[in-house]
Amino acid sequence: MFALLWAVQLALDSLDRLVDTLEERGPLTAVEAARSLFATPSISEGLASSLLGELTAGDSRVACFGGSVALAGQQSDPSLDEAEFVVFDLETTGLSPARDRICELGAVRVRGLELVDSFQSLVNPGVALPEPVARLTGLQQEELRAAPPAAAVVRQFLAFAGDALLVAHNAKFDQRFLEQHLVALYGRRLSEPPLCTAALARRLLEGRLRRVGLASLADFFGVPTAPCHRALPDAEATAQVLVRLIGLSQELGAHRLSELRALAAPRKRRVYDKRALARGAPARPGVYLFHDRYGQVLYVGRSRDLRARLRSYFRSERQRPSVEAALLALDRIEWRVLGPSSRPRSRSCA
Amino acid sequence: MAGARSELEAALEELRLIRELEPPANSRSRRRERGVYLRRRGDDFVVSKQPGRLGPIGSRRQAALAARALASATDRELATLLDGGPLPRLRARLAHLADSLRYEEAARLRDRIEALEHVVERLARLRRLRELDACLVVPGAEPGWRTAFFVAGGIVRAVRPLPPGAGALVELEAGLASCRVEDEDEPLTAEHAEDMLLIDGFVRRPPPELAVLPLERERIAAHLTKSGVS
Repeated sequence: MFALLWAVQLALDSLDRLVDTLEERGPLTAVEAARSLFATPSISEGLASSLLGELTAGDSRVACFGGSVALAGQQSDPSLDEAEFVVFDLETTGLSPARDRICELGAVRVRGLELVDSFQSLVNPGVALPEPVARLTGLQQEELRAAPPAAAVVRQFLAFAGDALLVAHNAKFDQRFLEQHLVALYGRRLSEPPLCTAALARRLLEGRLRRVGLASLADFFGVPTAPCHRALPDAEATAQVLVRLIGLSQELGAHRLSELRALAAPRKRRVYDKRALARGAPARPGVYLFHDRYGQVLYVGRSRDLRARLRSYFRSERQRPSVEAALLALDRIEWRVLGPSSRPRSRSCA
Repeated sequence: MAGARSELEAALEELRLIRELEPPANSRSRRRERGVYLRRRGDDFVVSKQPGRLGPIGSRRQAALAARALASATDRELATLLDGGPLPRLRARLAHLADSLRYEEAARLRDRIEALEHVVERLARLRRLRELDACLVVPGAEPGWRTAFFVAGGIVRAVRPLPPGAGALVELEAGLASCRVEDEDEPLTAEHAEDMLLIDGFVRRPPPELAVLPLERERIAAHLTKSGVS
């Protein structure tokens, strides 16, 4: 378990560093990118391409083609009123994506903040339906036997979803099951993780709601569909919760899809997305000041090497709580290289 | 090594900015108000915010425990407080309590002894720092220049840029003149103590670019000549 987490973390850190390097230096050959990532003086082009291909598979920020690596083109960032979402839910035979199988898939399309279309299919899991799951969902072994296999249903679902942003409640769970099939079918993972309504609710309802389970949220918002452990009703309830959460996020000033994603992102991603604020800092000693959006100084620090120190804040290591809070509210970094000829410099979010 | 030029300047600037701006995420912005002192009241010791000889101490709880440990101290023990004072007697008492299976009393005494040890160590360090006279020389921002920090009584009294050539000696004289202060026996404030501890960190573990010299004109001039400033 720990080994798996470590490997995932390592891949994410390496990808973050690769994106940093590509932003600074532009497109690189596979060998150049592998050298900078893996700190190795010599590596064959074949091995470099293979390592990078594996590392960047499923990350929409980076595109690997032939023997070179570059940042993928900018994604569209529609307003929340115009964005299209596909909210989906899976019923499975258990909790482990490696051992268990999908047995139902339901999805709802949300366009213009309205539920406009739906998709639902039972899935033949190819294994016996465990009794507790049958009791929980009400699914019958016989009806599942007559259903299409998972590969066919996943293909239909992808055709239904198109380019819309995928959304799920506790999205990691559904993402893992879905990606099992995507890897088997296409050899790739999702280009970007689905938006998680649980994470979004945790952020937007902090202090107001202790539990962010789908049933609690449906009850809190008074949505018309009650979740019942079946894929389509649960997807509908999630979609209705999503629409209310979008309303709350708009009240907080989020207007575009990227801002909604930022609200739902885990701490690591939220902080990482601010790494551009440290760009341009010199590798020289000096002091730095973190400012919030109102210009208030939140934190003052010093370093022998401003560039290395400032970059370190945006990696995975957690800081102590007060600095962590300052990082989340950070809007601009000002640094002062010490010496009579130095002038204050800064970089802001805007 | 241009990349490691003014770490000391950065540290002093950081301290100045924290005091001026009091940023909410810096724990040091609040530390300034935390300095407390031990004061004698009758036979006992109390924790006070009024500056005195025994302080400043960073932690009020540690000061309170140390005050309890000092309550039974004799005048002779108090006179030798910075050398340990009542600590040997208290340690013997701790061993006796443990031997007598009076563990709860022993645990309380152990905490007080630990706190007193920390307080004594800090007071001894601050006493030593009050006697620190030194000149800290770092490379300046311009090629060939140096920056000298003149420290007397543990505190930076002057910062002078030292140009190449004879001008450095003029600056050196000015820096030394600002260090001629009367011996101060005033109680230390928490800010002064923080300044002294910062300077002490650089003196004890100087970064490669920092030269720590005695506050003597000839020694500093010789260093400048050797490093090609004058």
